[in-house]
Amino acid sequence: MAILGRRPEAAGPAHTVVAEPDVTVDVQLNAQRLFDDGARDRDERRQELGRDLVSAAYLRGDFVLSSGMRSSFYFDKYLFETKPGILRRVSNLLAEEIPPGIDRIAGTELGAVALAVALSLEMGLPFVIARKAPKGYSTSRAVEGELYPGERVVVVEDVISTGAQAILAANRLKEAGGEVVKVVAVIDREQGGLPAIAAAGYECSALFSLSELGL
Amino acid sequence: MSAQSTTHDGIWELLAAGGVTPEGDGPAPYRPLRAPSAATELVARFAKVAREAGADLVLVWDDLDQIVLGQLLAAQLGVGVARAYDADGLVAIRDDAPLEGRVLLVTDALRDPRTLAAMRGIVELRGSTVAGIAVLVATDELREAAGDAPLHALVEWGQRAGGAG
Repeated sequence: MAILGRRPEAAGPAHTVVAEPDVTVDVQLNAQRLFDDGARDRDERRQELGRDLVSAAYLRGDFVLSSGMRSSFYFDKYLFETKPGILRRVSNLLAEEIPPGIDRIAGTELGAVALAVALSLEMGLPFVIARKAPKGYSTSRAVEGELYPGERVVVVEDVISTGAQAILAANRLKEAGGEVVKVVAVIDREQGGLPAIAAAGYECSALFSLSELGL
Repeated sequence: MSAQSTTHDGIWELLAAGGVTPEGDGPAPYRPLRAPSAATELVARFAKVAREAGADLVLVWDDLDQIVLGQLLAAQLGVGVARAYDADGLVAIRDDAPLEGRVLLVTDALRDPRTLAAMRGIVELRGSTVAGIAVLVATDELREAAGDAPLHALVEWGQRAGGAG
C-alpha cells in the first residue's frame, strides 16, 4: 500500500527543493525497516538517514539566516520533523548521543520541540521547552514545563549555525536551575556553532555535519 | 561612517522616563509605553537626527518596544514601517509597508548584533538600500555592528553625563 503526501511550503524567500522529498511511504517496507533497525549497523542507518534528510529538507535559494548571514541553502527542519518515518529515526540516533543519568530533555521553541517530544518518547524522559529571548527582556517564561533545581538536562537542537540560539537556550536553562550536560543537534552547518557552544562551556555533538552529508 | 547627535539638553531625562538611565554597563531597554508623552517628545528630537538619512521606510525588529519606537519615528518622518522577524532560523518581513527604497534600520540600542545584521541582510536581499541605522543610544559595540552603514545616533553612551565614559 502506498500513501502519497504533499510537500509543504517552506517559510522565507523563493527557493527550490534540490531533490523531491520521499513522499511515498511503503508501510510494509517501513515496518520491516523498524524491525531491522536494532540489528542494522549504526553507520548504515546514519547514512540512510542522512540521505533522507537531504532529500526532504535541503533547499537551495537566497536566504538570510537569523544570525544575519546570507546563505545559498537552508535546511528546513519542518520538512523532516513533520515526517514520522524520518523523525523516528532521528530520535533513535539522537538517543545514542544522550549521556547516562539525564533527568530531562529540553527543546528550543519552535523548531526543536518536535525533536524534544520524539526524543522524550524514545527515551521515556520528560521534556521542557526553552523559549527564545533574543532581546533579553522578554516577559514570557524562559522555560515551559517542569524543571527542578539540579536536574541534568540535555538540549536538543535541529540545525546549528553559529550556535547562538543553543547557547542562549542552555544559559536560560542554567539560570532556571538546570544543569546542562550536553547540547545535541541533528545537523551542524559547520559555521562555528559547535566550537562556540563548547567555548561557552557545554559539551556538544551533532548527528551530521554538512560535509558528512556531502554538501 | 558618519554619526550625528543633537545636544543632550533634556534628552537623558526623556530617556529615563522610558527606563534608560546613564548608569550601568550599557543602556537598558527603552520602553516608550512607560511614558508616552516623553516618548513623543524624545522621538521628535530623534527625528531631527534620523531625517538626515533620507529614508523611504523605517524597519524595526518585531518587538513591541521597537515597533512603538519605529511607529513614532516613522510618523515624524512621514514614512511607513516594516517589521523583520525570526521565522525559525530565517529572517522574514511582515509587510506592513513594502520593503523598498531607502530603508532606515531603527533600534533603541544594540540588543543583539545578529538582529541588526539580519535586518541589513533582508533589506539587501530584497534589493533595497540601507539608508542608515538610527539609534537612540549608540555604543562602541553598535558602531562595530553597524559597519559602513551611516549611523544616526541621538546620544552616545560614552558621552553621558555622570557615566563612566
